[in-house]
Amino acid sequence: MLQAILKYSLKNRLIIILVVIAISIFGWLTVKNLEVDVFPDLTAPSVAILTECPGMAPEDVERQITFPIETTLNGARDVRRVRSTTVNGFSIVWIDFDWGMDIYKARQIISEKLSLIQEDLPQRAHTPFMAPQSSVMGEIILIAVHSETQDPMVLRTLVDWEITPRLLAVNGVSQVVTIGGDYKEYQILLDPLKMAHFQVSLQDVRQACETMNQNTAGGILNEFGQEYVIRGMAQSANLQDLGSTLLKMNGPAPVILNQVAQVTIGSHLPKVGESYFNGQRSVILTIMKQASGNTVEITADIEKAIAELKLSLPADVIVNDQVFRQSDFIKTSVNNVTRALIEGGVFVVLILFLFLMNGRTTIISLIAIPVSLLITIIIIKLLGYSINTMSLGGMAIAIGLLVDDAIIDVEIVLKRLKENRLKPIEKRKPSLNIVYEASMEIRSSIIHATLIIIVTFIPLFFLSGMEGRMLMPLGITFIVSLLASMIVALTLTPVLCSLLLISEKQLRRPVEGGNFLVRRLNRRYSDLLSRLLSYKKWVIGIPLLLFVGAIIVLTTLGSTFLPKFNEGVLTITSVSTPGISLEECNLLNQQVENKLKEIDGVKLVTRRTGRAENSEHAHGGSNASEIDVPFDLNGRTLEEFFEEVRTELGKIAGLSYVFGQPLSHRIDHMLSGTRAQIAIKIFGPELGKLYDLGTQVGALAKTVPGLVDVNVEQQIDVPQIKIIPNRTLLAQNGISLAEFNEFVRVALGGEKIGEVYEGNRRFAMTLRLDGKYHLELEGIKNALIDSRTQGKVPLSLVSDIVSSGGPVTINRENVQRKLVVSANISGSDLTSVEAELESVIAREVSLPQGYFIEYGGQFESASSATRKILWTSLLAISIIFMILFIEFKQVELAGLILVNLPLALIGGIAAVWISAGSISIPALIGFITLFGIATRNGILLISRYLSLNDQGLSIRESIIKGSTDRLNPILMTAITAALALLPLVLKADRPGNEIQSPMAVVILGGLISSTLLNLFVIPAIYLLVGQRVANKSKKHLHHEL
Amino acid sequence: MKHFIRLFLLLGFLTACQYANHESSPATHEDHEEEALSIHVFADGMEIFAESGQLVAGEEVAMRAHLTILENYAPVASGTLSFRLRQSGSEGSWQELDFLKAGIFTGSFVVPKAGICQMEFKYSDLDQEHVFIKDSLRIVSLKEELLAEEHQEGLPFLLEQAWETEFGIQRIENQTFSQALNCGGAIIASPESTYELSSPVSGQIQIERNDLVIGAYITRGTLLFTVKGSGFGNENLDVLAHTAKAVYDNSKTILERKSQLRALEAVSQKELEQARADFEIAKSQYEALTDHLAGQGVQIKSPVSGYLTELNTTANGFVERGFLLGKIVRQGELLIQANLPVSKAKDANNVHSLYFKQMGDPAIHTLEEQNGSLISIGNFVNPLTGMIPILFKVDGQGLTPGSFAELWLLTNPTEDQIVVPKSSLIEEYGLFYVYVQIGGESYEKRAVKIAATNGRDYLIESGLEIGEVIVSKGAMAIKIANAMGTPPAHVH
Repeated sequence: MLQAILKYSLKNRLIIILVVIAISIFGWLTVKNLEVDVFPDLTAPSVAILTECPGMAPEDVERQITFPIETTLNGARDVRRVRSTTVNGFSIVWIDFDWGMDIYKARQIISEKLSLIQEDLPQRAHTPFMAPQSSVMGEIILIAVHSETQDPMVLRTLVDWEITPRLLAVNGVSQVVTIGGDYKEYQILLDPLKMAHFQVSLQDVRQACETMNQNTAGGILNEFGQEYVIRGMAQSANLQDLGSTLLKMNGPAPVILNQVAQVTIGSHLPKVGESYFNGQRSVILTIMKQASGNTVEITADIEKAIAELKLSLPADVIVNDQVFRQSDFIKTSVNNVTRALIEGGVFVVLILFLFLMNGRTTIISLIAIPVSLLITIIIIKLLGYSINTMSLGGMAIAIGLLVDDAIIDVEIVLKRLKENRLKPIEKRKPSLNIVYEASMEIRSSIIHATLIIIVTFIPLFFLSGMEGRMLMPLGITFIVSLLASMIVALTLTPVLCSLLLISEKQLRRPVEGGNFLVRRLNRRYSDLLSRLLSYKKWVIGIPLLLFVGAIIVLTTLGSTFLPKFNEGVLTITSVSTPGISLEECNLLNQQVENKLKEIDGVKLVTRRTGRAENSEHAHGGSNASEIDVPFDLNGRTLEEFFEEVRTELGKIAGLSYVFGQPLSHRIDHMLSGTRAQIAIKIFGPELGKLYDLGTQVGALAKTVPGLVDVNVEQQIDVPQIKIIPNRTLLAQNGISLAEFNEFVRVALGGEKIGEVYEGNRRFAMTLRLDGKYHLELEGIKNALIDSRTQGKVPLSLVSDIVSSGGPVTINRENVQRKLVVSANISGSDLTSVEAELESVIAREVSLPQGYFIEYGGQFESASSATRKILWTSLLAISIIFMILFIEFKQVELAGLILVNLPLALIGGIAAVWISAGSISIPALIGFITLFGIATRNGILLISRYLSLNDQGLSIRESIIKGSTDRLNPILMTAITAALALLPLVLKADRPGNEIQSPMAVVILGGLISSTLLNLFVIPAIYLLVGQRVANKSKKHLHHEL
Repeated sequence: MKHFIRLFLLLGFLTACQYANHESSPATHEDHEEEALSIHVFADGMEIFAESGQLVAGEEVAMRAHLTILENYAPVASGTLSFRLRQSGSEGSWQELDFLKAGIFTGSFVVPKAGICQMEFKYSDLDQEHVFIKDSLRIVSLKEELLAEEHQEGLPFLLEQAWETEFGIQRIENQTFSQALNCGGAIIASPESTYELSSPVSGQIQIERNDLVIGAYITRGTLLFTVKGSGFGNENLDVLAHTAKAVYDNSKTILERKSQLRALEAVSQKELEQARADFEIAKSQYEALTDHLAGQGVQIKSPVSGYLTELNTTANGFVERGFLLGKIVRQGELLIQANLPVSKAKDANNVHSLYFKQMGDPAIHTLEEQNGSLISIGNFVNPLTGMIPILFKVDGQGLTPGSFAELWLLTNPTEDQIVVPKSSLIEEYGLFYVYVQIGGESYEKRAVKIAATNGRDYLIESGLEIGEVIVSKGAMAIKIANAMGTPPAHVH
């Protein structure tokens, strides 16, 4: 088949060139329109179910809402994990499905199950609903709306009724979560003293108010030839009108609402969240995109929408969309990787030209790069992948290898053409035949080498979960581009050779030796090699020692999952004691804001404290804040900057922090359900006991060197006011328990009793006692409840009002209560720290019956991924061995070529040792790639030795000549591959490069060691085993090189 | 070949360099030094807190002083701070400390000879000067002589933290405390100022003024109603008048006859006198009715000037004799009836005055301003309202009888009490605590028992002593600083 392709290509050269041009144009168009994203789609099939139940205590919410939802859904098909968080008045249940589950099917299953439990939920609970489907990286932009002069209520109303609807109309936006400002509502604040005076009961007010602001239809009037609709226009937004509503008649005297209550406009209570922009009260919008949207495009559309909105907003309202923009990070990362790719390409050009010193051969080889890449992009598009830093990284790593096939082809074709030219004219063959034969000559080498590299990537496809999703596109792009380059080498390259290399001028140059540089290099190498071959034992022994050394070093290297990347935005979660009021928390965090603003490089500071209504992104309560800080490093490293922030904020007593960045924070969270690198999950039934154990574990964790940000999830009680009815006194006063409950719920908690329309804007109308009676403990005691026997009595007379405590947040996983102790790693490696931690905990902590500990976090993924990669690498190596055996038909030769692997390992490990100091998943992939490249060098050498042996040269002669012959292509391919990676290595800390750079470092190091050692060690070993091998292979390989 | 080796080495080097700067530099952490000697003195609305090494003769020790303005609990922004050590026989020389940053001065000094000394600080800024004196400091000649001082264990809260937040301290002093019991009530007219207008006869009523509606102001003597007789009923005005005339005519005839008979001495003088008396009665009754009959009905005039508060009849309606036509309330004295919830019954007997706010009027009035006084404290529960009634008498100037009023009943002021502001209290599980300052930067969490509150201040029954310094603002900051929070499992 290959033969046919080659033959067809050479026969239809014009068609091939036209096809290539067509592919190039199509590829270019595809590039222009491809979805660009920062990472591959990492969204796990997960659905969040949110239930609001205003005012209910966490224990009640857990018992009456969270638990029924969890148990109903836990048994659903393909459910991997059920997690939940219950806070005051709110329940969130996450259902994580198996990877690969269709999200729409998952939502359908949940939807069906939810309809079953609806009836079991308490009346007060709102209907549970599924959070909009959106990817992990869904939060694409944060927008702060602030003003020097406008009231927070005006801001919030503008956001809710002008800005949010416009943003939701942007194609691709799935949800806008708003936090901050004052949420406007119409309030009826009852004065119990006045109610007592006018003998008005709570029931009187509720009855009168429920229908007071509704328009009614009065049928139709047909008169004067027209049809009139009759309407009762009771709706009003005028406070005076609303206040004039009749409540009851006291004899002949009417009592109106204004006489017993204040009808006013106020901020919704209780306030669950606040937001600040540079220390000023503001409204912050988090815009979520739909799972499949193109972040960059949606962001551009949002920007356009905001620009339009700004025209209609009051001049003093500022809309700032620079707080966090995923698209900026995407653009920077993609640009950085693209630049690394282009710079790598430039290096390749330079090296090729240096070695070939021939414009035409350089061009032919180089053309392979863009053509292969464009073909890759088309295929990637067809496979349904997006362009992201990972797929671009795959191309960046491959770029040095893409020319290899072409170089090998061009070299051999040129050589054969020159040989042909030297023959007498009558014996010369037509150029096309020469090109064909030469290409056929190396086709199997090209194919085997490519196959081997592809095989080395097998382990990548065994990675599951998020790491698989993250790295798979890299592998796929790499493989596709290599295959593309192989096809190019079999089609376009021979065609171009046949067109460009047949001129007399080209062929007049000497056959052997190449340019001055190459000749000099070859001479030096052959001298050195022949001298070194006399010291075989040293040549073999020293690398062996190095290898042993490398293995020893390897055992000391730590491992991490993914390298840290710089997103340009710092996400600080600051947490104070649970139960602290929003006001106090604001006071504390103002200090944080002030400190942050003083740090060099901080562009602005936005803070969200508490939570937004109906948001899946739930913190504990008003004690937790999320602070987003866009920054410039200004010459510092990311670590240095983080350290500076840590030190400054550490000076504020009463807050603890978790430092992260928007995307890494979410990736951490996806891995374990907890955001830190290490999550120790303690399961058990009693919250108090869990907290005791947690504190114990936390204290132990702090003693483990290398662990920072150790945090024990707070499970201390938060204050509660318990109003315990005194049934005897209630009975004496003729108050039923239902009335008592209603009083606590409505009079103290507040009840939405209707709606008020201002044009199209709709605001809730709530009914409750005046603030004096529900915002102060004394007030609650004095609040008057309707008695049937004597007017009204103070609440404290019929109940015990006590200050008490209850849990703040109840977290559960797989229907078990859990408490998480989390920690991050600093300056050490994940696995060893984790092992140390586990042993310390096992030794020191004794768990009561029913309690158990699970470890999660990045290390969990890292260790499982590492294990998989190691096992599958062994599989890959055996497949490589098989391929080599097919090529050489000899176990010894196949083994000899595999000697390159340890040689490559030496440099790879050394590079890791010098650089990061720990092995990450990308570094492992670097090793994989390295094995492929190194093996190929081995094949090139050995096949040449065999061929020279075949031609009758002695073993030693064939080694020296063969090695010198192959020096050129080996060095050329190695240096092109290495230099192509250099930009990734040198700009390792640029956003987007962080993940590929450990890979590049390993490949670079390994290439250096394997190339250098390969050129001496393989000849030395071959000298030892050569004769035996040569004899055997003569029988098999006479037709090969 | 050499070139390539060099090239590779260079590459290797570059790679290494790239990562070399990944090592993070150790953070410069400003530790708060543990000092051996601390001096904490208040003067002129300022607080100085200085820490230094122990005073061992001849040794050089470092000093760090914090200077706070108590009014807003802010660090001094400028100025100079000097100090000296005075010993018997030596005044010591002033030594100026360096201004490190707002509120903080540092320096070092050589400790003079052993003995008892006094440390004096002088702070000057612009033209003001403040002096702080700490007496009885002991300088030892050898370290070994240092007595193990009793170290006060307290909750730390650094001044630098306090300056950054809203903070304040206050010395406990004897105060007068009065409770204010919030309750509802009504402004009502006093019984002696209310006049009832009843119909003296049955008949048809005629309203004599067009503006006679509830709330109208009426001057004394104004004709309000006329009751006209008509043909029905026994109590009819006409019947009465005619009956009276008949009785009058009859008695007149009897009197005339008896007069003649007396002249004849046919009747006794006594009988004549009786007849004269009957005549006089009948005459006066008849005349009384004839007066009213002048306008063809009985006229009812306002006996006082005041407001018509009740009107129970309509024009031309028939009224029986004695029917309550309306009420006029004389302008002037009113009553305020407070309805105190039973839950505050124990305080009821201590009530001596009140503040009040009339419905629809934001102004708060005092009892004094209304020349009012306490009339009675009802020691019973009104079965209709379930409240304890307490009555006050007021002038009534500007007040509207019948309206609702929000009241604050003031209890008798008690003197020499310990009173703390609400902002100084921390509540946990029904127990109250305050933070007592035990050093410049250390505090003690002290449980206190609350006796009463007036909404703004709390009367402390036990737990605090006069002279102690408590945190009056920012108590929560100390509580939070000493209870580290940790992130709850936060989720997306």
